Amino acid sequence: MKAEVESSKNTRWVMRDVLTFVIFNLIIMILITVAKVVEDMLLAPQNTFFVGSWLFPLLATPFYLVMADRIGKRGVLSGSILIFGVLYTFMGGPYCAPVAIVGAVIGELVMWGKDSYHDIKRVIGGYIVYWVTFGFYGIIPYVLFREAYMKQLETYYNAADVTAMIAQYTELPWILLMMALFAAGTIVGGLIGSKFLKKHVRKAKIA
Amino acid sequence: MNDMEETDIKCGLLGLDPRTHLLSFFLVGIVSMLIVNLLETVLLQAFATAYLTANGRTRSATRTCVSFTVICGLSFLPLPGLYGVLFVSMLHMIPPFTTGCAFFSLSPSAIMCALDRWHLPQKFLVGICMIFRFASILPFEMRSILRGIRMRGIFPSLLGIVRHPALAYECFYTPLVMRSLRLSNELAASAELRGIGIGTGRTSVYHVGFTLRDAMCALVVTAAVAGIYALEAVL
Repeated sequence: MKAEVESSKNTRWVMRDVLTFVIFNLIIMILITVAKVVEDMLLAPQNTFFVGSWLFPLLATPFYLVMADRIGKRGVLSGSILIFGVLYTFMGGPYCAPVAIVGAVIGELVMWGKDSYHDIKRVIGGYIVYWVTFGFYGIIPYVLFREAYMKQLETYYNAADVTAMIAQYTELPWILLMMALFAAGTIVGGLIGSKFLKKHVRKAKIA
Repeated sequence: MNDMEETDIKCGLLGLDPRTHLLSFFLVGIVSMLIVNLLETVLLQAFATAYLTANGRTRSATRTCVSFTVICGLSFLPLPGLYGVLFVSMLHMIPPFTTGCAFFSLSPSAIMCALDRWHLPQKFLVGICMIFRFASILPFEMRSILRGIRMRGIFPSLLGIVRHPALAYECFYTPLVMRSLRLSNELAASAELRGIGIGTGRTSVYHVGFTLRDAMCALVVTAAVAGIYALEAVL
């Protein structure tokens, strides 16, 4: 009985967990938004594919690692995926909401098990699901509403850019390359993050 | 209206209920997603600016208008990439963001009290309020970190950041993470001490509740955004 109460206490989110979750997700979102704006300002649309895919996870993973380690309870990954999905839904992509729900379920299944959020390798593995879901926010409109989306893109981009973007988001080798870049960015970001986590955060005994 | 309600403090010039702002934000957000043409987007931004000004945030309204104009102007420049996400996404994000800025005219206590009446989970309410609380603190924290780095002479020029990006990231990451962890600790302790976990219905010294003003405002917002959407369909 006592063990059951202890275990429910360990899995239930307390106020500190909620605040940590909100603060770190806000930082991650601002970081990604700023990086995306700078990237879009400097690079042509077909080249952003090769930079953003590894740069965003590289910047965000060290923050996610600290958040996951601090909270250490079920729901960190699914909550983060859902928050980003809601943001993208409001940014003009209602199709992102169902994708985010599927990603959140898969993400939480990947993180199934006791103490998985304190295992750095599993946290990094779970965060790859986050970025794969993010990748699908780009792929889905080409798959579901190809004609309408192309018409919309043609208003803003020239024909060469649109052709390149269609290839990047619809052909399997390009999609696999994007996912591989997301995974590579997350793994490298995770390695840097775990070094920072041990060097600064755990040593300071704040988390 | 009873005596207690008459003595409530009203937030913003119009003294609207937070849920009315939420409705306005959703309506402007939905129409912003549906419209494509520039003229309608400009009209929507003009309406959102008027809404924010009416709620007593003239400075924020001016700033969002300037941002909208700058991004709109940049989108016409023949530069690679600039016409991409800035035009399609950011331009359409500014009208709902402008409307959402009306939330900053409210006290977090009023927002929590209003949403509590919808019986939303308490942790969700805390999360929502934290977004508004921390979103306004974060730029200040980031500026303080940058000032601290410069004061210590670590990166006297921007060239240093380009030469040592990993060190620059670590110098920015570490204090931001430490500050965020401390902040969540302090705010959680403060909230718990003030009885956030008490479990009974929240009260607020700020006015929470629908009045005729809220109904009028909802009507005006609905008519305006519907008009803008209809204009796009006609043109």
